[in-house]
Amino acid sequence: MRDLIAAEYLKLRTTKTTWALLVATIVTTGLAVVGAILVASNSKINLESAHGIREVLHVTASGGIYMLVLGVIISAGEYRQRTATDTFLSTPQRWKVIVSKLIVATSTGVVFGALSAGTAMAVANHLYSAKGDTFPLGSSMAWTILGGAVLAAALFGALGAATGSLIRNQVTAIVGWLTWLFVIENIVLGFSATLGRWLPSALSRALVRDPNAHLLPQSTAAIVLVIYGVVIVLIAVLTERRRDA
Amino acid sequence: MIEIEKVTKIFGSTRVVDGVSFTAPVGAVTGFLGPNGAGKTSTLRILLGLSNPNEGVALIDGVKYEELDSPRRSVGAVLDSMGYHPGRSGVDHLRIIAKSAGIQRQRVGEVLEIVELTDAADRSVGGYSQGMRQRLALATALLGDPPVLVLDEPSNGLDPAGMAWLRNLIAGWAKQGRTVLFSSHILNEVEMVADHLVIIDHGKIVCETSMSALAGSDGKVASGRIEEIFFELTSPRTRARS
Repeated sequence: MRDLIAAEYLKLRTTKTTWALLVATIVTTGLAVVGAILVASNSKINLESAHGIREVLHVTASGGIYMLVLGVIISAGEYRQRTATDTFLSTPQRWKVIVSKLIVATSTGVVFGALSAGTAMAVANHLYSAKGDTFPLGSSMAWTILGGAVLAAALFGALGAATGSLIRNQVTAIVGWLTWLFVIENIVLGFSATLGRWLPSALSRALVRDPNAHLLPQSTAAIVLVIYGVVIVLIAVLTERRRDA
Repeated sequence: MIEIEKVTKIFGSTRVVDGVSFTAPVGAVTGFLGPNGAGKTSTLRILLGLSNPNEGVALIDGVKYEELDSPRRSVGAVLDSMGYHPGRSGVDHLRIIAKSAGIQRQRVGEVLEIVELTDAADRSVGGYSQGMRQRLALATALLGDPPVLVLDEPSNGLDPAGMAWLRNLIAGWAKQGRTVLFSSHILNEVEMVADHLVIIDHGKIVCETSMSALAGSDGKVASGRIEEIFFELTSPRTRARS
C-alpha cells in the first residue's frame, strides 16, 4: 500500500495539470482576498473586527473548487489517458487503488489549502498595512477560518477522487460537480435554506465561517462532508467489484 | 504455465468467449490466433484480472491474477487498451509502474536498454511514434522480469525491423524458460516464432496443437501451412457473417 501511494504521488507530480491547478488556486485566492477587502472597506466594515476578518478571509475557500477538479482527475483521469489498465495490472485489488487515490487527493488538498491560506494571510496582511490597519495575526477567528479552508480543500479533494472512481468519465464528473455546486445547490437554497445548508457548497462555506448566510457550525459541516465522502467511496468500491476495467 | 478453463464471457446477448479452454506451456511460445472479434483480447483480459468471466477460471501458475503475490514480478503484459499520459515522459511512466510494484529504480534503465528506447526516455510520450509506444509497453511488461508474458498484438505499429527484433526477443524469452502467450492475426509472424498454436473463432477454440505436430517429414512446418489451417477452420463462418 505504501508503494502504491508513493506511485500515486509520482503520477501527480509528473502531470502538468497539477501544477497549473495549484497556480490557479493561489492566484484565485489572492485575488478573492483583494476583492473581499475592497468590498468590506467600501461597506465601512471594521476590518480588524471578527466580522471584518470573516468578510475578508472566508473567500479562501474559493480555491477548493480546483482541488475538487484535481481529485476527479486523480481518479477518472486514468480512464481518460487509458493508464487504468497498467494501474490495475500492478494492483488487481481495485479497492486498494481507490483508497490510495483518496489518501493522495486528501493530503494534496491539505497542501493546496495550506498554500491558499498562506497566500490569503500574506495578501491580507499587506493590504491591511497599506490601509493603515493591522491584520490581527493573533485572532482566533483568522486561524479558525484558515484551518477551515485547509479542511475544505482536503475534503473537496477526497470528494473529487471518490466521484472520479465512481464516474469514470472525467468531463462528466467535473461538469456534474460544477452544475451541482453552482446551479442545483442555489436552487435548493432558494426553496429551503434549512435543507440547502446540508449540501456540499454550503458546507464548505460553513467551514470558512462565511458571514453571509445562515450555515451549520464548522465541526458539523466537516463531519457531514466526511460522511458524503465515505458514502461515495463505499459505492465506488462496491461498484468496482462488478465492473470490468 | 497458463491454464484457461471453460471460460465464458457474455456481453449483452453475445457470448464473446464461449467455453474456452487451453494451456500455454512453460518454456514455449504459444501463438493465439483468430480473426478480428474472435475473442482473443477478451480472453486475455480475463486472464489478467481486468474483466470478470461469467463462467470458468483462468490461472497463472495455478492461481488467479488477482491472487498473485506480486503481479508485476509474475506476469508481464502488453495490451491494446494501455495508454500513456501524453505529457509524461517514458521514463516517468516506467518509474510510476516500478514504484507501484516495489521494483528497484535501476531496473527502469535496464528495460529501456532492452527495448532500445534509452535516448527517447526523457521525452513526452505524446511525441512518440506508434512503434515507440509499443516498445514502451514491452518495457513496462519486462519491469518485473516476469516468468510469464502475455502479449496482445505486440507487433502492432512496429516496422519490419522492429518486428524481426520482437520475434528474436520472444524466442529468447521462451529459451530462458518463460511462458509466452501472444495473440496475433499476422500468421507469418506466428509461424516463425510459435511452438504451440491455439486458434479461436466466434469465441470458441477451434484448434489447439503443437507446431511440431504440423511439421512435415523434414521436421519443418511448410510455409503457408498455418494460413491453410486458419482459413479452413475460421473462414466458413466468417464468410457467412460478412
